[in-house]
Amino acid sequence: MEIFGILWLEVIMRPMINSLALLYKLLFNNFGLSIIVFTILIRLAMIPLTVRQTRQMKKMQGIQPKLKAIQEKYKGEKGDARRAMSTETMALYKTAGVSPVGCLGPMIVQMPIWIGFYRAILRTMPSTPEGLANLSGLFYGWNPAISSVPFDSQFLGISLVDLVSAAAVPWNYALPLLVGASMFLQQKMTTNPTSDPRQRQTNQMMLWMMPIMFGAFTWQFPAGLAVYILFSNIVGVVIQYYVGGKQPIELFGRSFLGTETSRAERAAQVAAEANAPKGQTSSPKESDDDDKSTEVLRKDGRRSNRNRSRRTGRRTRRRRH
Amino acid sequence: MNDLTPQGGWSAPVVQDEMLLVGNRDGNLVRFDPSTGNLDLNWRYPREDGLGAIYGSPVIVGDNVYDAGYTCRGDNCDGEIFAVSLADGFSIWGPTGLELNTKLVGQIAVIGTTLLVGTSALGEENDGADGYLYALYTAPGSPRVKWRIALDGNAWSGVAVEGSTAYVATLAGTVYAINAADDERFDSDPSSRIQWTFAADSAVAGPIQVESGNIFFGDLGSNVYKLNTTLRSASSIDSDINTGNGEWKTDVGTWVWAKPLIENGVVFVSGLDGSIHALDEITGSERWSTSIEGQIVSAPTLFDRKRGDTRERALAVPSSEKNVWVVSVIDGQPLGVFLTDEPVKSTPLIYGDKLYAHTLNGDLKWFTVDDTNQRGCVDLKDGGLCD
Repeated sequence: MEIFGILWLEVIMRPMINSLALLYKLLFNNFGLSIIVFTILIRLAMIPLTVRQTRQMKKMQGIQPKLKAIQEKYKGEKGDARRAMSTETMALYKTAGVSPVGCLGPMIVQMPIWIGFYRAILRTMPSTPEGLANLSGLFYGWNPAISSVPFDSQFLGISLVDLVSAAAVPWNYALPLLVGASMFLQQKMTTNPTSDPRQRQTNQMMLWMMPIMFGAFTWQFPAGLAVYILFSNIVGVVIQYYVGGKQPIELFGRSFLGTETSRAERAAQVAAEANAPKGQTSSPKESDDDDKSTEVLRKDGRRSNRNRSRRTGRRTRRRRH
Repeated sequence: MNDLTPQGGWSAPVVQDEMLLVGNRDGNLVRFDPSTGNLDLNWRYPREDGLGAIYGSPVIVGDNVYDAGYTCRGDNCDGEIFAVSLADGFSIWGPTGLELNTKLVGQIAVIGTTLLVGTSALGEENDGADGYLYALYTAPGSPRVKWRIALDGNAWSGVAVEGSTAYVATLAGTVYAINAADDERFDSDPSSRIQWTFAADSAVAGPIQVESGNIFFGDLGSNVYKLNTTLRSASSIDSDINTGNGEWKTDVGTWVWAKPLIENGVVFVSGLDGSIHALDEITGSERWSTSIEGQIVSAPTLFDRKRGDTRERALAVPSSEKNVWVVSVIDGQPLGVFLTDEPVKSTPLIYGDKLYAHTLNGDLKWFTVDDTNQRGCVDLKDGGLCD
C-alpha cells in the first residue's frame, strides 16, 4: 500500500501543489486566480478524455435499442442462454466500436485529478502549525513560490480558507447558488435524450438532485473549493458545448446558442418525440435502427402501456376502497 | 483548509521543584513526578477536557504557572491564556483564564508583572489586524489585559524577551521589538511601544533566540538571521542587514521553524528537511551540516554525552519521523539514538541523568543519558502505561 501512497504524492499531490503555488506567484499573489487558472488548465488538458467520453456515450446511446432487444430476447433465461446473451452483447459492443469502460474510463481517470486538486487546495493553505510545517516537504526546491508561504487566502473579499457559510453576504448565498446553477447547466448539456421512460425519469432526477445537493453541500465547503467547482463547471459547460457539436441549450422552454443545423435537428427530434407513442424512440439516431430493434421497441411500448394500465388499475381499485 | 482541530501541539516539558510540567496531547497542562515515574493525577489544568493543543512550554514565575492553548472547530477557534497555582494546578484567574477566539501557537513570556502572548487574528473582531501582542497582568484575580498591539500577521513565533524588550515575529515576515516596560508614556498609544521592525524575506513561524544583545531566528524562505538589537533603532531600514554591526543572513536551504541554539560561538540551526547546520556566530558562515530523518520542528537540546571516561557536548535532536538523535557538536557526526519509536516534535529535556521526550502520540518517555536505554514511559493523558 505504501507504493500507492508514494505514487499519489509524487504523481498527483506534489505537481498540483507546486502548480498552484507557482500560479499564485505568477498571478499577483492571488490564490483565487491561481485556482481559477489551474482549473481551466486541468479541464483543457482533459479535453481529449472528454471528447472520447462524449463519443462513447453517443455510441452507447445509439445501440440502446439493440441492447434492449438482446435483453428482451433472453429475458427469464438462465445458464447457457445468459452466456449467449453476454456474447451477443459483447459482439454488439465490438461491432459498434463501443467500449463499456470507454464511457466510464475517462470519468475514472478524472476522479483522482478532482480529488487530488481538492486535497492540494487544502494542503496549500494550511491553517494549523502542523499543516504549515508539513507543506515544506511538498514543495520542489526550484519553486520560487516557496518563499511566499503562507499564501494570502483573500479573494474578492472572501477568505478561501473559510467555509462558504462563514463568508460575508452576498457570497455565502451566491456561491452555493452559482455552483448549483452551473452544475444544472452542465448536467443538462451532458444528459443524452433517451427513449427509456425509466432512464428519462432517472435523468430528470439527476438533473435536479445533483445541483441541489451540491449547492447545499457548498454551504459547508471551504470557499476555495467552491470557487474551484464553480469554474470547473463553467469551463465544463463551454467545453461540452463545442465537443457536443454546438447543440442548443434548452432552458425554461427556450433554446439558447446552437447552430442553425443543430437547432433544426433538435426541432426534428422534439417533433419526433411528440409524435411517437410513449416509450418509443425519440432520437434521429434511433430511427435508423434495424427492424429488429424497432420490433423490440414496439414490444417496449406495449409493455409500457400494459404497465401503465396495471398501475391505472391499481389506482382505480384503491379509489374504490 | 478548514481547521482540523489541532491535537497535541509540541509543548516541551520544563522542570520546577523537581517536578516536570508539560502540555499533553489533549491540551491539558499536567505534572509528572520523575522520582516515582507517575503522573500527578490531582494536578491538571483544565481539570476536565483539554484546550485542544498546547504548543508552548509553561512559564513559571514565583508560585504560578502560565501557558496557553487553543482548539478550532470549523472556522471558530477557542483560545485560552491561563494561569494556575504551582501548588495545586487550580486557576488563579477565576474559573478560566483569558479566553480569546484565536489560535495561540507560540511561546508566552513574562517581563516583571506582565505576561506577553502573541496571537493570530481574533475571530470576533474585525479591525483588520491579523495578529496581536497581548500584555496581561500576571497577578491573581480576573485575567486583565494591560495593553495590546496590532501586528501585521499571525504571531506564531511566540515571544522572546531581553530586559524590558519583547521580540515577536509574524507569518507576514515582520519582526517587532517592543518596549514592554510599565510606562505611562505608552498608555495613550500602545503602538508607540514598537521600537523598531525588521522585514524578513519570508514568514517567520519559529521562535526567536535572544543572546547577548542579538536575536537569531529563521524564516520560511530558508534564511537564518542575526540582528544586533542594541544597535538597531526606529531609523534602521526595515529589511537592511547591517553587517557593520555584526548582523548577517545565511541561506541554509530549508525552512527553519526550530529556535536556533547558541553555544561557544556556534549557532545550531535545525531545518524542516531534517538538516542541522552549525554556523559561525560572528560571520554566519557554515562550519558543518548534517541531517536526520524527518522534520525538526523544535530546537534540539545540548547535553553532555558520556564517551568512555570522558564527556562530550552533543545535540539531542527530536525527529518528527521518530526517535531523538544524538549528533556531535564538533562535526555533526551521528553518535547515537534515543529510540522513542514515535515522532517527537518537542524539545527533549535533560534532567538529572535522564532525557525526557514528549512523543507525538502523547507519551512521555525517559532514557538514561549515558546508555540511551529507555527507562520508562507514561501516558500523559491518564497516567497509564504506554501502549
